[in-house]
Amino acid sequence: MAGWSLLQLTEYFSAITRAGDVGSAARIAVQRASESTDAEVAAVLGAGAALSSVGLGRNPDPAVFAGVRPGAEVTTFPGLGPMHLTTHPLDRDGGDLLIVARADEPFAAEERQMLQGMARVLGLALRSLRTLENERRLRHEREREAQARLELLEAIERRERLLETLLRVQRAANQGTPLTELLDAITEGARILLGHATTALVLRDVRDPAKLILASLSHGAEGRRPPRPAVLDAARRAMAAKGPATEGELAAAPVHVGDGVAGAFVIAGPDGDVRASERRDVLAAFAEQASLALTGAHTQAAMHEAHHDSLTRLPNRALFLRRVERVLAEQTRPAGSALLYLDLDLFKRVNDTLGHAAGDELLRGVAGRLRGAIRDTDMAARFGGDEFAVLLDPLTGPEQAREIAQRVIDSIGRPFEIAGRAVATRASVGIAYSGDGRTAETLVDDADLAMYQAKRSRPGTYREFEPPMRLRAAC
Amino acid sequence: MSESGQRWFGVGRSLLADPAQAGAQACREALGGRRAALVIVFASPSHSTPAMAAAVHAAAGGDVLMIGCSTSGEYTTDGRGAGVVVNALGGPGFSASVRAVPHDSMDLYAAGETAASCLDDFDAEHRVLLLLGDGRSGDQQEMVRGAYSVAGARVPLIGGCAGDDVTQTGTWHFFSSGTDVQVLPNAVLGVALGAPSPFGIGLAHGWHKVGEPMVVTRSEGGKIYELDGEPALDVYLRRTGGAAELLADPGAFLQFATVRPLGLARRTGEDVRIIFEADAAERSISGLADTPEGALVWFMAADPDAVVDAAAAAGLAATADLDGADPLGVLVFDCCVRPIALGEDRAEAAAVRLRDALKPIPFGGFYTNGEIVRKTNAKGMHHLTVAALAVS
Repeated sequence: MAGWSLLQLTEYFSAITRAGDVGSAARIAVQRASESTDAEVAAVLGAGAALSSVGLGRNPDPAVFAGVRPGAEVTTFPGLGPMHLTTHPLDRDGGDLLIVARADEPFAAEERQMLQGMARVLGLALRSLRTLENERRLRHEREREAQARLELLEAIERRERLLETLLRVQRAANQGTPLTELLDAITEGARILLGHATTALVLRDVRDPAKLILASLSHGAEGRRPPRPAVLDAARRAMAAKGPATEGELAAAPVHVGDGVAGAFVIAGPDGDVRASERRDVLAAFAEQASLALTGAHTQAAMHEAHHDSLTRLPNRALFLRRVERVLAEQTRPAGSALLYLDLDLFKRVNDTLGHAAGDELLRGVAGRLRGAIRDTDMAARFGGDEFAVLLDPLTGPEQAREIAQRVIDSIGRPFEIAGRAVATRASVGIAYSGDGRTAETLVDDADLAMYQAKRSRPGTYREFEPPMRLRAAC
Repeated sequence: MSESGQRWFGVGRSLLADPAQAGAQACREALGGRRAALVIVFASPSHSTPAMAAAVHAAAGGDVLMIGCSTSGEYTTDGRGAGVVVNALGGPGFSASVRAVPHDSMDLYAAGETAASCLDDFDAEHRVLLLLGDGRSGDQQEMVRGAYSVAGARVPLIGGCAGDDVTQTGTWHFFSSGTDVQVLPNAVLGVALGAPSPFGIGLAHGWHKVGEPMVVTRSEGGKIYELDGEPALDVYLRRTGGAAELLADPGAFLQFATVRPLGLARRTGEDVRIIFEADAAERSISGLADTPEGALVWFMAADPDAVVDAAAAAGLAATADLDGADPLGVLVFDCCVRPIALGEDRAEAAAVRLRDALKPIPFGGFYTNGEIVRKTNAKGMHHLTVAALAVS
């Protein structure tokens, strides 16, 4: 199951932010990286030695990492045989690497993306912690003048703010903040850290991938606003280079969804008192953050999509039938649950006279009324066209099913207001009860037959399934 | 008792009321006159006394390595009971080395590192690290992490956390590195086992996920505040059909919730998380182990037959993991909530099925406060699960 791992970054972010020294930050990173991917081995490598590692025993011989090259996809560790490998630089300049290896399966694109995010945050934390360690040493030696110390402390403070901003955005992502707000939080967060610069997130237009759109923009100081085409051009350069691209006051880094380049994060404006290295960090960190937010939204939407009807957001037939099967399997008495099958009368006329858009709106409206008429424990689904089904579970008996069916009919029977007009429809409903030998499919068939009888004899009412209906249908 | 070449594994059990007598009787039965390389004791809280530990050690001839812990009940081929079970192994080829970490002597990560440092004492063709932790003292996953950092991927970790008859009062560990005998409250023990022939590990739970997944949108440690952005307790009661009255009685909620766990999504399956407490004021639920923010979880349901079969499944998986070698005996770590979830008859059936599945291989098992398996595709601490170690 994909998706979950991206969301778990929050916990990792906050653990890394709390780490007090380089060793413990690296230890947290290798543990979380190996556990979140079920990998046997993980290590943070710097200057030919391991800052921390798991899976190879205590203080492994540095020589065991000699064969690990950035970008390599397989490796062999003593006693463990060949393993799938993934390597992630902690930052652009240094040679530090987060490496993760496991025996059974190669790493998926999404896992690699999550690990890259972990590596980047670790890189930021390590720089900040190393600066802090440096500063402590320097203070002891009393070798530096006050101004230099102040600069260092300011740099630390900004980096801590960077981590905090990233953490806040990640938390918002977990709490289901809408994507547009999330992207705004990313551009805004980066802009505040950089002081005067303008920050922007440029994405490919979903309808026309050749076109670029400004998905989010946060303006810096007045009078420093870059022209829009310049921002789009900067993005285009980074997307083509598949890496950071700088020209004058414009710097951009590509943003990914899964393996593909989806756009770019752009910083425009003067450096001010922010050092060039910090600007690069902010650019890389926020480009990655935007990638994670976009990929997360994409996978969550895909998960929902696979099980739901895109028009009404109701569960689809497959998800519905699975739930019915499960309920039937746990059923201990007859008529412990029931299935309603609904068909809208007059729907075709709405579609024909008012157009498909109105028809779609009507279906959405019906789905809404349907949700309102049933209980929390029931499940409504759209089977396609103007056909819907509802699982009633648990059920005290047929009387309760009839009551809910009537409630559904009444609520759908009230006129809808669509495109400024009152549109009327009505539902014919078939009811079938769980019982001996019923499968999800037969229950649907029975309810469908009963619905057909209702529609033929008295549209806008319900009928309960009786076995002779099957015969009549067969004749 | 089985013999393979000259290596052997024996199990003895006694239900005598006097702890020391029971310990001596179980130990004699396990040893059958042989000299053991290692003695492993499982004792119910009623029998977890210094006199029992001393009696087992003496009956094994003194000067023998011994580890053990209190339980929430034990079982062997002779059935289930509350007394003393002694497992012993010996013969040329077996190596063992032990460590004990007393409660509160260091943080749990460091305790795991120290427990695993017994692996430094010898090398062998096949090795395994057996851990007896304490499910009551904090996050045992930290202990397993510490142990793994020393053991590495080449040495699998297996074991369980000491029990206290599900009373939440306190656990005991029994330990000897040779001549001394110690009884330690809430400790962590580690034993490195080595042999020329493989060790096998099995893990099974028999639960399955139901309904649609939910995202843990707010949690802290074991406490879950929100699922899918809604108060976790509300979601929990709605999806499990629990009545609001349950909240007035923590005991009733515990009984209801322990058999309605959550499953935490992992790449290769689910980790079961037992829910044991609800806070009506803050609408939160609490699990026995960490459920990280952002994780995907499902409600888990028991297929009673599969849950009964989990013990036999874990035992068989352990013996099947021996690369074709003949199993001499099996140690079983069986979650103490399982008998509560299953009820008396089914818990009995689980032990009988395990016996029938392993026949004629001897085994000793106990009801644990958390099961430990760290190998490929198993993260560390497990719950509502059965873990098994087969020795060959």
